[in-house]
Amino acid sequence: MSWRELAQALINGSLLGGVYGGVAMGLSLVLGVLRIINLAHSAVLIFGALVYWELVNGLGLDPLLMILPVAIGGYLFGLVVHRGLTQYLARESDSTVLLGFFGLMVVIESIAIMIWTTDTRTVNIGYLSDVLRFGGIGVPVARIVAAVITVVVLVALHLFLTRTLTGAAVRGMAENPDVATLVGIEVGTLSRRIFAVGIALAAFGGTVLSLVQSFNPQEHVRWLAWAFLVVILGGLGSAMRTLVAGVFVGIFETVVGLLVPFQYTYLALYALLAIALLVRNEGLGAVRLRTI
Amino acid sequence: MSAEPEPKVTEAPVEDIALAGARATYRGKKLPAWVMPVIALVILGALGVLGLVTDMGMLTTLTSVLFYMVIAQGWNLLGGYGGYLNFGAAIFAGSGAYAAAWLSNEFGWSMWQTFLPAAIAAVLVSLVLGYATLRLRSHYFAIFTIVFTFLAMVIVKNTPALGGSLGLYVFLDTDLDARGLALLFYYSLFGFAVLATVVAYFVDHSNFGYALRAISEDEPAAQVLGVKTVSVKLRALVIGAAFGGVAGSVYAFQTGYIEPAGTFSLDLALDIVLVCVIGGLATWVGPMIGAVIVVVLEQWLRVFVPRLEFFGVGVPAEANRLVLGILLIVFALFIRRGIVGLFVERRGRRITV
Amino acid sequence: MTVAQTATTAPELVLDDVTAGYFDHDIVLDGVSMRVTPGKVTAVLGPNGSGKSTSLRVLSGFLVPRQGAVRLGDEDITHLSPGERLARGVAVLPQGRSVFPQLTIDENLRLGAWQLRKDKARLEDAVEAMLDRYPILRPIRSKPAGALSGGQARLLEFARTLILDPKVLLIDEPSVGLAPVLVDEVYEELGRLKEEGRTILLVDQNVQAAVGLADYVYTLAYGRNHLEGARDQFAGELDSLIKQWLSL
Repeated sequence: MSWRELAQALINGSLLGGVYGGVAMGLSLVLGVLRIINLAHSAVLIFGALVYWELVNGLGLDPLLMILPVAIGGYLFGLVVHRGLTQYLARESDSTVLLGFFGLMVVIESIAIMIWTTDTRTVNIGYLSDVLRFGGIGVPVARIVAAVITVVVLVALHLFLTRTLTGAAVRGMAENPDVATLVGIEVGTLSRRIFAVGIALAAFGGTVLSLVQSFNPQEHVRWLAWAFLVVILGGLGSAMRTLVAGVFVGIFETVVGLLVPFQYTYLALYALLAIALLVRNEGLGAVRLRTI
Repeated sequence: MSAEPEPKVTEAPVEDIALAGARATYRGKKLPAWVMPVIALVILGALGVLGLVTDMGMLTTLTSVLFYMVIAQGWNLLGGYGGYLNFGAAIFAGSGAYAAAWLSNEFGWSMWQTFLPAAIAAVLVSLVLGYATLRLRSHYFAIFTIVFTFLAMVIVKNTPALGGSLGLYVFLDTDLDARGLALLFYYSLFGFAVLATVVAYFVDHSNFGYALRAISEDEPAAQVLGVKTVSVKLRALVIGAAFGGVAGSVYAFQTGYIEPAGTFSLDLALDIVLVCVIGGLATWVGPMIGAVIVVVLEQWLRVFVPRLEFFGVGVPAEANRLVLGILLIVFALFIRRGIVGLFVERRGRRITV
Repeated sequence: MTVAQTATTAPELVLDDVTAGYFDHDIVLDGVSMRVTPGKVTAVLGPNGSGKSTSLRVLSGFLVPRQGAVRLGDEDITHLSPGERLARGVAVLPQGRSVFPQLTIDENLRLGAWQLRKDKARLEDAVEAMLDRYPILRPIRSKPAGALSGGQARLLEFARTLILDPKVLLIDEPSVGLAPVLVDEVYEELGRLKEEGRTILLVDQNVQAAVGLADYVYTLAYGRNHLEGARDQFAGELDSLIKQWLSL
């Protein structure tokens, strides 16, 4: 491995990792704030990517302009899912929530395959398909664009969560929903919006991911694994730590990819996941306390 | 305040007491104790006799019922009683199937000889999974089982000894005719179904079963009460994995060909979860009833869906899974205790805002 | 800001013949009634499990009663949420630690004034007023509340509860879990609130201290009204009451 290869891997890996931050953010937000593990996260992600593919490849619309509509579609879908499913499950045991969301995952995946079949698809990125070269290092423009957009979105989310009163309300609700209710925060409404934002972020993650990778509705679980890894490494609900964790995973993946044959990078990443789980042990400590 | 010592009334919050009391209280219409065992015996008895008298098509259907029953009874121990949902049913069945296929190809072992190794393979895999994840909260465990299913597929795909992505053919060296072979698979699974049901019955009535229920109700409290929660969960997982492994072995010989994407798919997890949820989580008869219902439903969908037309276009086969997914959501929302749960016991429901 | 409500403007809060429980088959409160008189401190006492905290949950809107009503002045507020009750001037100081530990003191106060969020100037004034009232919080206002000591956290909780200048204060076990030194501080603060003429319902296990503050006392037993009366009627009976409760 030459220095140039390494530099290339680092640059491409960080850009890819930025996108991974976007892939994971919705999962992290919903888990961190609402304590719901959204098993349907990756199904929504791929559904978003497929809708995006349809808009860009099918209708020939501009790839950059179509990201927002897909995210808005995700938001509206999230509102519907919360109204019909999540709000009833949220009061029940963990296992009931998991059953419901596993069912939702199957439903979304089935619909995606019914509409778009199991073919692997690539978004036609058109004018983004150039490769920039700096001294022998090639960086695809689409990858830069996807990473920059993701960083902008995550920074905006970070500022919202840390600098606004509504953001403080979201964090307060995550810490103690009962006290949040007590001070008059409309916990139900706020939960619904946060859930919808989480789904919107999943759909958004699908669009930026599809700018840099091919995808296949049958293998969406792969992205659930990636998102889960980023969430475990980055912790819950923090946009900046999710971004950093995503970049770490991206770099890890590309650098390991230099050292071992492609298929073994999966194994290395899973080993990383196992280690992260054992070290972080986010488990029983995160039991929610109710004070009133 | 005056400085003199005063009697101090310390108290536990009244809500805790009320909650603990209500948690312990089960209320509802109780069926006589003999009803469930009779249902179980009727189902097993019918399956035992039907294998000898039905035609081949029906035999295949009933074989699926038994296949689901074996895996679901095992799955229900941790997933139902323990409340740790496991979406990785395919991991254990797949490990068993691959162990059996490999031993058969490599050393020419017969199906009987592979049962024990298949169970051991599944148990070893479950120990790896369990040690890595069972200290975590149940929803982390659940998501990890999904991820692990995918990982198992990736590993097998990249292991040439296991046929890589091409898969393995599995031959059974026998002079049985087609029906004899089908009966061999059928009664092997029948034997395991009886065994799994007996195990489930005893777990249901043992301290082990109560420990699992306690974990499901309130794990920190169970821990405080001295339940070795991790070890209890691990044992439940391992027993379930062993049944998954042997069922996988029969599956490998029955289909004659296994490949990674089909073997390690979430479809099996969906089926098994549905079997337990429809029948009744944490009941020893539920998986038997659920297995019958799910197989009948899937058969019916397989016949019915291709006949559907939507604006003149045929409906893709994926509609089957769509229906199953919707069914799972419906049960999660409205019928959480499944069919058996409707008749056996009803838990006090919390009604605060 | 923070001019206390006088007795004439504060409405009376009434719990009227309330039956309530947490599950569909238990009864924690069985026909309990009480009135929180404007400008007075009303104490609710009782042994373990007598329904004190549950009464407060019904009054604050966390538990909808099966029968009976909660009224504020002329308005039936039985089915209003805690937030809607807060908007009508009923604030709650819950039992135990209730700060948001990862949020700063400033953010905790601002969330206390969440209902003023559309009126930036009033919100800022309210926060400043609370920092004036509890000056010890001002220099550390940007620290996370989780870093506060037990006494400081309690003051922050008082501040968060008072920031909207509520008409009625519902206070649940204010001294539970605090070090004995801090307990006195808490009752000093409660005394100050009483002097300001605020309307207070105090649910307490610290019988001596509560009766010391109260104008009127209710006692509950087994989820029912037991005794009630003005403070003077109780002062002599405290010892026998406590003995009776301990033997329950």
